[in-house]
Amino acid sequence: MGNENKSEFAQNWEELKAVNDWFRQQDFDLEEGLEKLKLGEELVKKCQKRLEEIDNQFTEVEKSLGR
Amino acid sequence: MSADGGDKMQLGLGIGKLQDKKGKEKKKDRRQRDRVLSVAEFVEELNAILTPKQAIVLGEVSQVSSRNSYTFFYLKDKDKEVSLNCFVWQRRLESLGIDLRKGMELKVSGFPKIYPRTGSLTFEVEGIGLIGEGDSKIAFEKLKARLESKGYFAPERKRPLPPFVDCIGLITSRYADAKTDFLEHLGNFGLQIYFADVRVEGSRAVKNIVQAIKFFNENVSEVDVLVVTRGGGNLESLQAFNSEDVARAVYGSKIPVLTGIGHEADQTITDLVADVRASTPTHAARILSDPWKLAVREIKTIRGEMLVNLQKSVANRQEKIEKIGLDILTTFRKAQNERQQNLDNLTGDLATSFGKQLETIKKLFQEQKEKLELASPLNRLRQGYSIVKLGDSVVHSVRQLSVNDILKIKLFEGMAVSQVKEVRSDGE
Repeated sequence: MGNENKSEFAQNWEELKAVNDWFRQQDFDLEEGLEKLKLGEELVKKCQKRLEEIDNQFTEVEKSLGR
Repeated sequence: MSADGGDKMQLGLGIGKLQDKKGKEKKKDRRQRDRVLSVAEFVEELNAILTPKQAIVLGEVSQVSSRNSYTFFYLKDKDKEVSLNCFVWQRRLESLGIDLRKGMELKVSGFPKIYPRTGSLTFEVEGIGLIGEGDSKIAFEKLKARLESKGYFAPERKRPLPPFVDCIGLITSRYADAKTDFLEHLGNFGLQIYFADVRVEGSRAVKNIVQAIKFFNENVSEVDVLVVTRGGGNLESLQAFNSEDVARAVYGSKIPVLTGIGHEADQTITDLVADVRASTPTHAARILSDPWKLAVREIKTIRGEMLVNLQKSVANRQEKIEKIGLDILTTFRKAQNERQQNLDNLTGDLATSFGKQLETIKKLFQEQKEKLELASPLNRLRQGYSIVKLGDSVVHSVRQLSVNDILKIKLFEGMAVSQVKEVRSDGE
């Protein structure tokens, strides 16, 4: 079922939030910071692409259910 | 043949055909009437005509006769002396939490049927709706208690909804305001919505809703959540959502179920079994759309926040490096100063010590000088002593001399030459 696995967006979002939280710590290695920023930018791009999809798809199923 | 003639012929043919058809039907009826059927065959034919005649009948319970697995009761017309013998399976009553009692006003759905064994006409009840509010409430409480004891409402079995719902299975009536309200407040986030149109009240509602839940579970695996929703109503109109069949379908659903039934105060059995309950269809929509709305807002700030934090870290690092540099310099200077101080102190000590030593040496030197001066032969000569030499040798003793020796006598500030006239030792 779709609900058993997180959607790709949910996974990317979670990872992005984790990267952002990492940047909130007091001290971090600058080289690692640059790597994390690169990763963060990729994740922002992926998430933004999904968030730009605005049209909902509406499909009616099994018309006989209503009878 | 003229056009008119042709039309008349067509009409004639048509009427002729109709007359033929009617004739054949009459012959068929006569044949039917003349058939000799067994009792079973006749009852079967009657049931073939009767059972498709589904109906919803309103009446008052006048007599109840219960057995283990089924109940017979009479439903009488409120105004006329007409009754209908009804049959209902006990399970059906239990699933609705209904205890049939004389005087209860009911709306029953089902079909008529002649029971072969007795030949009596009975209305086979498929759905029951309680009309009286009091009776409905009693039925609700009874069913609620029974399902609660079976663990249907246990909090530990409730599943959380996915953080971002992509695909929704919407179960409601196409004519309901609930559908419009839900879709309007859901917003546009590129979601996939599968819609199953069902009756949300009336005799067919329970079956429809159960079928829809089963359909999604078996055929639409990508659905993240099932939304079961309808607008507000009285206890009677919400009855389908207080049935054990719907509760069982929700309980057994592999897909999490979110309900938004009626208003805040309308808590149904289905709400209690559901994984998440929203108070209204609008609230249900907001539960699903809020995470997306938040993400749209947050994505704008997250990138900036990461950059700012990185820049802050660089600035902090720089500041620390400068501070460390300054600390090193300070420490070095302090050490240098201390060394200088120590050196100065040492120099001072050395100078003092040397000076003292020098004084001591001077003193010793002076003493030695004085001693030397005292011991100096010149000093002796000054005192009146003389040095007598015979040739190159210094005369230490009278025994070195003979008469007529020529002697050199060194005196203070000069010398004399003399000749020995007499030699005499002490004691002679």
